[in-house]
Amino acid sequence: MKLYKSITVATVAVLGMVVSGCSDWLDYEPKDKQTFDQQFSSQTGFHNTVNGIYNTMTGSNMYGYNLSYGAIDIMGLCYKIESSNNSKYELCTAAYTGTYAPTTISSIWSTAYNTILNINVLLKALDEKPGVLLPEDEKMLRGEMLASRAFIHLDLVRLFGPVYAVNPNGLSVPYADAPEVIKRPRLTVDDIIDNHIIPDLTEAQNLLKDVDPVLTEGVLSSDGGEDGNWFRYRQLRMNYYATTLVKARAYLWKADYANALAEARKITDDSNVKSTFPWVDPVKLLANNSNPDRIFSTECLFGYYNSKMSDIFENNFNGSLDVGLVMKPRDGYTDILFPNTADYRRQSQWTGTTAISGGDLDFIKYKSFTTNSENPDFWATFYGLMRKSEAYYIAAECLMNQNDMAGACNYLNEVRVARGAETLDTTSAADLLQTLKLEYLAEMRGEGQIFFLHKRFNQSFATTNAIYNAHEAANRDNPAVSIRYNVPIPSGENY
Amino acid sequence: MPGATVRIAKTKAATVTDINGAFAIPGGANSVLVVSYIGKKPAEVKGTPGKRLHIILNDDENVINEVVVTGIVTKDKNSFTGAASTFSADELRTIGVQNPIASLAALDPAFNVLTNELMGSDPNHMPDINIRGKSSVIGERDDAVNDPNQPLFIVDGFESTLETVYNMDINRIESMTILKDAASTAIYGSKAANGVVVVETVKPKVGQLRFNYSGSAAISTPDLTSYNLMNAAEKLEFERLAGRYTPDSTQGADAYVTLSQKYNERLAAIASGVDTYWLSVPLRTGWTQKHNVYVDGGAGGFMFGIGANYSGTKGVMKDSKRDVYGGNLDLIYRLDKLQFSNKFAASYTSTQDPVVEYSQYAMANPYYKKYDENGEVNRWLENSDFARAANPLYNASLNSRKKGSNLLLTNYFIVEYNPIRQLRLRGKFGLTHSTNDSENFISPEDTRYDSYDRTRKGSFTSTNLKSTRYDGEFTVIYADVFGDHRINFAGDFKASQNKSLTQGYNAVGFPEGNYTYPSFSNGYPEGGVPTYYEDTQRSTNLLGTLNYAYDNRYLLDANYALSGSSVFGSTKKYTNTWSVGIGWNIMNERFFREAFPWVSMLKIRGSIGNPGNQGFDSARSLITYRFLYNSFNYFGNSTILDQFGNRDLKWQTTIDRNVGLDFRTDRWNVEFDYYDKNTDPLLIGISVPLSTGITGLWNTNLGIQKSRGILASATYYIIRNLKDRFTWSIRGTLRHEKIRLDELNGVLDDLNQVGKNTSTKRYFDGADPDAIWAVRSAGIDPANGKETFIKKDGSYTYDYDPDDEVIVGNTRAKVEGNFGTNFNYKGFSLSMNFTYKLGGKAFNEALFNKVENITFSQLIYNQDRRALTERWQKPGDHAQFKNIADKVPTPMSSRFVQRNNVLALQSLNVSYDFYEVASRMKLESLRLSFYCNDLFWWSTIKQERGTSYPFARSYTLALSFSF
Repeated sequence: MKLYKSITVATVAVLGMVVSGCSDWLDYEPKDKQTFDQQFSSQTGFHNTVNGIYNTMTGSNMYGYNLSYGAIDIMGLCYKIESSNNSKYELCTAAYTGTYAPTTISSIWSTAYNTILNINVLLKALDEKPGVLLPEDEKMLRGEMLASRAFIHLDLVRLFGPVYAVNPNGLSVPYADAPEVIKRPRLTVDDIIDNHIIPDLTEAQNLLKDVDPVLTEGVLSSDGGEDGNWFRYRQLRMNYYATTLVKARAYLWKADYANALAEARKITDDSNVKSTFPWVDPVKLLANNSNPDRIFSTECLFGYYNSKMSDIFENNFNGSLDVGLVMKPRDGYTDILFPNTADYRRQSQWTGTTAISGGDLDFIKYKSFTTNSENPDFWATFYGLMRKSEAYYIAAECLMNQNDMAGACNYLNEVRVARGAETLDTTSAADLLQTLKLEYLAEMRGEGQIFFLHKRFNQSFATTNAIYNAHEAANRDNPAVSIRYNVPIPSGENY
Repeated sequence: MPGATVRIAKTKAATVTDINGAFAIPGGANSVLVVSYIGKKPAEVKGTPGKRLHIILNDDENVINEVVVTGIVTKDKNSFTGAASTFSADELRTIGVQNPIASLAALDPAFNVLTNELMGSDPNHMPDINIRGKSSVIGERDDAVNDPNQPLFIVDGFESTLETVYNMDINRIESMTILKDAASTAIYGSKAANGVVVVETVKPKVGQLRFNYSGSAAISTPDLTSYNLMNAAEKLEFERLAGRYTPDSTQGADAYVTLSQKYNERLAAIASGVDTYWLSVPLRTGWTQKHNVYVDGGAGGFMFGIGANYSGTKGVMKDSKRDVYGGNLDLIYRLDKLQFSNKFAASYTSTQDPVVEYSQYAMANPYYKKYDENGEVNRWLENSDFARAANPLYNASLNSRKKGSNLLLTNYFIVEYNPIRQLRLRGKFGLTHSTNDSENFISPEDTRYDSYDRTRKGSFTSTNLKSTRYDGEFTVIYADVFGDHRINFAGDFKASQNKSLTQGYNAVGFPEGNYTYPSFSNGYPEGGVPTYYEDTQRSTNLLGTLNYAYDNRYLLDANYALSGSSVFGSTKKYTNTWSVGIGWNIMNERFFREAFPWVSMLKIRGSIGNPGNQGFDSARSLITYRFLYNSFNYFGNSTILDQFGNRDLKWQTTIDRNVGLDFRTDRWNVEFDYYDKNTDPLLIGISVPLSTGITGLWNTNLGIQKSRGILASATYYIIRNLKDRFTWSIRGTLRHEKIRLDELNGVLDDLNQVGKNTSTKRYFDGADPDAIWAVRSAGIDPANGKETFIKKDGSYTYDYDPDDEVIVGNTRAKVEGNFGTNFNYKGFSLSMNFTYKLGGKAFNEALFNKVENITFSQLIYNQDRRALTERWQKPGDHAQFKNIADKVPTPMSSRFVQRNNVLALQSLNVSYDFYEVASRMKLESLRLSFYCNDLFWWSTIKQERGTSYPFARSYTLALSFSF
C-alpha cells in the first residue's frame, strides 16, 4: 500500500505541475514575427504603428496619388487625358467598369478600409494596454486616430456615396468602428455623418484641444533635436485644426450650413490660426527663384512627408514628357481660372507662355527647387492636403446660403487679397457661386477636392457654362453626371 | 515474459506475470496452468509452487491480427471495441516491397492514397493520404506543410511524419496498425480526427546472433497508355482544318503565299519521315535496388539489434533519382524490475528531379526534329513570326538542376518499471531532428529567359528547413483480473514541442557557362527578400484510457483526453476529447458457442467520440505587424498589420460514430464498419467584404460537414490446410461514402459565383462538396457543329447560361476498394491484388483542353488525337466534339463529364520459401519473391495521367534470408 501511496503522490504532483506549467508553456510567441502583445508593450511600438498608419494613408493607393493629384483629380476632369493612356482615360471618361478603372477604385476602397482596420486595432490596443504611453501622448494619439478614421470614411462617403443634392437617402459606405470581421451595412449619408463621423470628430476635437501642441506652440516644423519629433511637425499629423476642417467638410456635404459655418469659423476667426498658419508671403514667394514655397506650406493644416516630391512633377506634369503621359489642363483652362495673370497662384504654380491661349501651361506646384541638403526647407518634402483657405470658402458658401452676401464676399475676399486677385463685391448669389467654384479650382488643384466640389453641386459638364466648356469640348464622350458621380462599390465588397 | 495471463484450467482463477515472468496464483499442486499471451498460442503446463517453469509460447498463425497496437497500450483485439486493423510485415510484403504506404492502401479499404494524376510515379513526390475520407473538404493545404486531412503517424510510440514512414524500408517494419474510429484514436486527443497509423519497427530477439538480409531489385517502365497524342501527319492535318494555314480577312494575298509555303514545308518534312515521338524522349527504364541488413541477438538481460539499409531509385524520367541510406541501432537491457530500451535511427535521403516537366515534351509538335542535321540539339524547335516553340531537350541538356537532401535523426528512449505485476510505469523521451535542403538552379541559357535582361538571366533558389522535435511521455498502466472482471487502465501524460525553421533565398543573374552557384550571381531579384519562417507548436495531452471486459463477453472502452496546444488562439488553448466504446463478444455466449461451435469470433461493437484536428498553421490566430521599409520620415520607423489573425479561431472537432461487426470462422474472416463523422465547425478560409480591411482569405469557423460511410472487408479460404501448408484465399474490400455540407448559410455563394465556368465545385447547404456542377449538354448539333445545351426547364438552346447548371455527377466513386487472391502451397505463394472504383465521374480535362478549347496560340502544341478524329467537320457528322474550325472558347458542360470506373492490377507477387534448402544450408530462412506492380490500369475515361511525371509499371525481384 505504501507503493500505491507514493504513486498517488507522484501522480498528483505531476498533474499539479502539468496544470500550472502548461498554460504558460503553451503561450508561445514566435520570434520571427511581431505579435500584437509584443508590438504594444512599448511606446515605440505604438509610435511605429501610428506612423505606419499615416504612411499607408499617404501611399499611392490613397492620398499619395489616387486621392490627391491622381485618380480623383482625373475623375474631376482637371486634366486632358489622351485616349491612348488607357487606365487614366477610363477614369477621365467615367468608364468605371472598364478594364483598368476597377483595379484603381478597388485599391482605394481596400487600402482605405485596411488603414481603418489598422486604426481600429491601435485604438483597441490603447484600451487594452493602458499606461504604456504617457497620458498626454495617449490622448493625442487617440484624438488623431479617431479624426483620421472619420477623415478616411468621409472621403469614401464623398466618393462612393450618392449625390446628396439629388439622392439624399441613397446608401453610402459602411462605417468600421471596431477591429471586427463582420459584414457591415452601407449607411445613408445622414446616418454615417451624424452618427459616426461627427461623433468621432467631436471626440477627437475634445481630446486634442487639451494636448495638441499646435494650439500652444504652433506647427513646430523643424527638427526637435534630442527631444525627438514625436510632438512636432504638427502639419504632418491630424491636428486639432485639421480635425475641425474635416468636421466642417462633413457638415457641408450634407448641406448643414449652420454647423459647417460654426466649424469653419473655428479656423477663420481664430487669432491663433492667423499666426500659426499665416498666408504665404508674396514677396518671398514671387521673387524667389531658388526655393519658392509653391504649395503655400504655411497655410496647410494637414499634409504628408514625401522625400521624392520632384518625381511628382517629373513623372506627371513636366511638359517635355510624352503626350500620352503628361497631365495637362485643357486648352484655355488656366485663362478662365486666372483672368488676372498677377494672381500669385498663376505666377508661382504655372509656367509657360503668358498669352491668353495658355493651354500649354505646365503645372509646377510640385516642381522641385534647390534646397539646403543639410537642412532642407520644410516645404521641400511636404505635400499639402488640407489648407485653411477651404475654411474661408466653406464660411462664404454657408453665409451665401443664409443670404448674407456681404459676409460671404468678405470671407472670399480675404483669400483673394492674400492671392493678389481683385476683390469681389456682389449681391448676386450666382456670381458669388461662380467665383467660389473657380476659387476651388485655382486653389486646390492636386489636392483631390475638385471632384467632390463638382459632385456636391451635381455639376454637369455639358452645359453652356463657359467655365466648364473647356472640359466638355475635349471629353466628347463624357457620360451623364449620374454615371460620373456614382462610383461603383468594388466587387470585392460583395462577399 | 511480463504481461502473460496465467489461468488455472477449468477455473476462473487467473493472474498476470510480472516483468521477470513471475506470478503467484492460488491453486493446488499439479494444477494445470494455461499460460496465454497476446500474439501467442496458449500453452498448458503443470505447475508446482516455487518451481521455475520454462514455458515456450509459439507464435500463433495470423497472430498479429489478434492485437491492436495503439502506440500507447497494446490491446487484445478480442476485447477491444474500436475499429482498427493491424497488418504484419508478411502481409505488407505480399503487396510489394517498394514502400509501406502503398502496401497499406492495398490491404485496408479505409486507408486511401489519392492517385496523383499530375505527379504519377515520381519517386520524390509524397502521396496524399486520408483515412475514411476527408474531414476538411474546403480547408486548403497551406504552405504544403500541413495537409489538413493527413492522418497522424506514430512510429514506436512517438509522433512521426509521412515522409519518415514513406522512406522506411519495409523490412524494418514489424507491424502497421490503422486506428479508424473515435474509440481507437481518442487516445491521441486533438490530433486524431484524421485517423492514426501506428508503425512498430522490429525489435531485437533473444537468442544467438542472427543475421537477416533482404534485398530487392526492380525495373520500372513508363506507362503511356493514357496518352493519345497526334502523330506528325495527323497534327498537320488538324492544323490545316483548324485554319492555321488559311489567312484571315485582314491579311492580304501575301499571307496566303507565306502560309502555303509554311504548310508545304511541313508536309515535305513529314514526307521525308519526320515524326518525333516526344513522349519517349525524356524517359528511360527505371531501376531500383534495396538492401537491408539487420543483425540481432542477446542473452540474459541484454539484447541488441543493428541494421543498415540502402535504397536507390532511378525513376523512369531521366535525372529523376532518390537515394536513401539508413542505419539503426536498437538496445534493450533488463535489470530486475526495470527495462531500458533505446532505438536510434538515422537516414539520409538525396533526391534529384528533372528540370523540364514531362508536359513540356507532351506539348512538342511531332513534326519537329529533335536534332538538326549535325545531330545537335537546337535551342528552338521553331523561332519565327509564325511560331515560337522551345526545345524541351535543349533546356534539359543545360546545367540546370533540381536537387534536395534530407537528414533525419531520431532517438527514442524508453524506460519501464514493473514494481508489482499489475502495474507498469513507463517513461519515454524522444528526439527527432531533420534537415531538408533543396536547391534549384535554372541556367541563364534556358529559353524562359529569352526576353530577360542579361543581368537577370538564370536563377538559384535555396530552401532549408530545419526541424527539431522533443517528446516526453509518462504512462501508468494498471491491469488486473478479478474473477470474471478484467480491467486495464492507463494514465498518460505527454508533452511535445516541434520547432521548425524555414530559410531560403533566391539569387538571379548568372553568367553563361559552368557558374551555377550563388556566389556567381548578380544579386537578389528586385524587391526580393530572404525567407525566414519560424513555426513552433507545443502541445500537451493528458489521457485516461480504460478497457474493461466482463467474462470476455461484455466489453467497454472509455477514453478521456485533455489536450492543450499553442496552435489556436490564446483564448482556446485546451480541448476535451472523449470516446466511449462498447462491445459484445457473442461467440463467448454459451448459447451461441453451443449452436455455432465453428464460429471463432462474432463481435458487435459501437463507439462514439470527438477526436480533434490540429493540422493547421500555428500562426493563423495571431495578429502580427511588419515594418514598412520604403517610408521614412521625421518620426522614425513605421509598422503596419501584416496579418490580422482570428483570435477566436476554434478547434475543428469531429463527432465520430462507428458501428462494427467482426466475424471469423475457419474459412471466413469478415469485418464490417459503418461510420458517421460530423465535423463541426469546419475551419475554412473565406472571402470577406473588403470593408473589413482584409484582402485575401479570412480563416474562420463555419459550417458543418457530415460524412457517412461503410467499410467492409472479407477473406474466404477456399482451401485451408495448415498442416500441409496449403491455403488458397480470396479477399475483397469495399468503401462507400456520402458527404454533405451544412450551415454554410450562403457564405460561400460568392465563391460559387466565381466558380461558374471555371470550376465544377460548388458549396451549398445540404449539397455534396464532391458533386460536379455543370450545364447539361445535349451534344453537338449534326447540322452545324454547335453545342446544344439543356436549360433548367428542359428546353434546348445554343446559348450557354451558367445559371442552368445542375449536378451532373460526383467525383467520388460510389464504391471502391481492392480485391485479390492468395495461394500458398508448401513454400510457394502467389498473390494478386486489384483495385477498383465504380460509379464516380470526372471532368475530363484532356477533352476540355486538348480536344476543344484549343486556341489559335495553342496550335503550336501537340494535342489529343480526338481533336482531329472526333470533331464535327461537315453537316451530317454525328460528332462528340464541336466544329473543328471553331476556336470560340467552349464552356464547361456535362459533355466533358465522363464515368470514371477504374480497374487496375496493383500487384502480382510470386514467392518461394526455400525451407529445405535453407535448413540444408544452415540458414534459418531463405525466400525469393517476384513482384509486378501497377501492371495495368483500365479506366472508362480516356484522360492523360501523369502529366508532370508519367506513371510506371515495375517488376521487382526480392531476396531475403537469415541465419
